[in-house]
Amino acid sequence: MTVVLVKEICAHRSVYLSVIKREKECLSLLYKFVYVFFSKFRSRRLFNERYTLSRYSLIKFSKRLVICKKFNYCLSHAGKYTAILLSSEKQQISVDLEPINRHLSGSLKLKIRKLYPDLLIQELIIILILESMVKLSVFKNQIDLSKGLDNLCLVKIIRLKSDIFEVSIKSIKVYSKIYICEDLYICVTMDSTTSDVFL
Amino acid sequence: MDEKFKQLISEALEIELNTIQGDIVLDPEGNWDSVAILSTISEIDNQYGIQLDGNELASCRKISEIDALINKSLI
Repeated sequence: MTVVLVKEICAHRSVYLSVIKREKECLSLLYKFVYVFFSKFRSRRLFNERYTLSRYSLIKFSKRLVICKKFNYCLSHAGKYTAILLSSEKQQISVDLEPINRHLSGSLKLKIRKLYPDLLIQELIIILILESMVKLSVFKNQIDLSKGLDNLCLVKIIRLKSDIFEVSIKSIKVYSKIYICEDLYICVTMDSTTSDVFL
Repeated sequence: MDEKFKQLISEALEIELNTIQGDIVLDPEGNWDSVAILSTISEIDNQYGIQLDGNELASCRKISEIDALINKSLI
């Protein structure tokens, strides 16, 4: 397991982004299994290697940042990579991760383009923003990606800077930023009253 | 599985058309994540004019199960 990124990302609060690359492990996996077993992440899912390694990294990351007891977190996985977003406060945060060369079907691209004709960014980045946004509880029950993209006409996305976006449904606004790391796009979304939330 | 379905799967999941078989495994930690499911929903809508539920699709573990879901919805 290799840590490929650790970054403080929020201008006002302690929010950190980390990306790890998972590799085949045997002995050290057993150690990590035991480590996570005696943590609050003990679960039947511990028998899943991805679960064990990502939670182990999350605990280590929180300890390294001296965020030991209460923290908010969000995880996203793509292939061998896991993005970990961690906050020491109650701020709503979410993350989504995709390889830069991730394939989208032709009709999915067309649907996204029809929904956001004026947003001149890759369709994959729009998907990242949407997937990250739906993880936030402020939008709970408002949109459901499992029903496809047809109910997304309510979601407005405005590009504020090259990599920062305002995402809203009616009066609820959040802010997303796109990071690039190791041929991956990472989208972080935060609930904030101002757009200057990102460092 | 007919050709139309195979082409749909090939486009949605980026699998070579001539290698598509019903017993190809859909792995939620690999080829069957949320983006793959969105691509599949869009392709099915485009090809068959039906809107399948993402949660139902997510529970499929083999390509043949997607075919069965489509056929069930077409009846």
